[in-house]
Amino acid sequence: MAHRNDQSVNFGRTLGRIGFGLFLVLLLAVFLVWRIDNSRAERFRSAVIDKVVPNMDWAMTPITKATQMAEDFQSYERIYQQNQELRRQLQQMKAWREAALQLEQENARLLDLNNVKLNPRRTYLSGELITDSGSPFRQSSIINIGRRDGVKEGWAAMDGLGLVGHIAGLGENTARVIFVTDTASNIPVIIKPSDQKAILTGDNTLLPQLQFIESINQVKPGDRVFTSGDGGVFPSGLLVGQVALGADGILRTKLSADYRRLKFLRIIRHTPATPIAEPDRLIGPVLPVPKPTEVIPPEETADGRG
Amino acid sequence: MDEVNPYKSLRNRAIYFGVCMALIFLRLIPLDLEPNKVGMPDFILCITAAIVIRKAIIAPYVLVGLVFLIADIMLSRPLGLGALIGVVGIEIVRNNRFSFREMFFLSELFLMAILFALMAFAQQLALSLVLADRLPLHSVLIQLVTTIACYPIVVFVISQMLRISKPAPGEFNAFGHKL
Repeated sequence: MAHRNDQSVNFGRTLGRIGFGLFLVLLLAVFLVWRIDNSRAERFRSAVIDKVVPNMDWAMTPITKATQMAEDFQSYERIYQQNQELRRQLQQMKAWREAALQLEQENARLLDLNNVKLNPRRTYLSGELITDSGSPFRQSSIINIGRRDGVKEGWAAMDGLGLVGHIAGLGENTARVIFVTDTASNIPVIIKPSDQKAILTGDNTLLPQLQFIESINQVKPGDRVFTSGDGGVFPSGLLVGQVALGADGILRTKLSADYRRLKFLRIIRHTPATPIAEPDRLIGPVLPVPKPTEVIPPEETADGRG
Repeated sequence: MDEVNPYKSLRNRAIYFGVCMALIFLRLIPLDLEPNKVGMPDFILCITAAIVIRKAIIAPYVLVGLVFLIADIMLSRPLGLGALIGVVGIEIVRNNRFSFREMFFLSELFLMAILFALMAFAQQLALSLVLADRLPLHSVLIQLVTTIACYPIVVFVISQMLRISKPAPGEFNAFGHKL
């Protein structure tokens, strides 16, 4: 190595440059493949994450736990104020609980009078969050259930109370949940009680925007926002949050889900209802499909009936 | 004098790779799932640039590309784009490392800030050229500012604590090559 003459050094340098160029072309090809065949590239990514992330659990758990303990310890300092505040809230909640019970009974009576059939109860899977997205541009997370557990693309993820996001990207044992705060998240919602439809669009803040509201005048801050189920991908009637008016005059949603304390997620099982395309599907059971070979001469039909 | 002892440079490369993997791993820990206003700085870019100026042999371009590609995969970024721009940017630093070594730290920081800004711009440009979703501009700017602000800290840790310092101008290794 020390006794190379100038020519071989030059030769080596040229080879190095060609290698560098090839390396750049390779990386460019990876980027273009990601752009052109995006679904396959993302499947590759979730396969890699599926292999790697569950193996890092042993190292990740202690750090997460230690940080949480430190945060809990900090909260001891204001334990007295918290206690007082919680007592006050509990008092209010008791009043609300009484009101809710009375309303529930009244509602049950009215539903019974009207003979209303509600949707069958939703079932859900529970998953634990394993990782953050790791990027300030993407609001997403990996959970520890995946295709093996029957999770499907597009299913809704909730914490105990409100909508958190939806499944986008499935591995065998892991799945990626895109939060509603992500810029790629657009969810059809309905605003009660005015029944205005809107699209909930994330913008990397904790207050996603409400866009395409039919008539803005009917929407007031404090109105409740639910998923509408339009488009058939998402189940309807999941609580999202409350309408809030931003300082910039844009209507936003204050999410009910508590992103600070997300640990477990409920993945709502959802199979979209079969669409009603023909009028005879509206009422009653599914009619037998007429066969195309049913063009029978009239006299034979008469025989068959007799 | 890394070229004298291939095992030492191999060990340093392994340490560099390990530190970068640990950084990616730290980013993935679900501590704060709220969309935070202050974006995390790109420590890997800072470390790589600082090391390439001081001891280029620790971070050859293949290793740099590999590290950035793994970061792209794990941190749900556009695959290959971060690696491509990272390798080109770091290679610009590498080709000018002798001039970087001669200048004062403030000029080094200033040039790095320009380079990082150009890299962020190139990323946005590439994404819009292929009609992909661009990253939100304010997050990009915040990350740029925090990354530039972290560069002096990274350089301090690398040069003072790890004692990987700039070779003095005119220093040669055992074979008489310019370092």
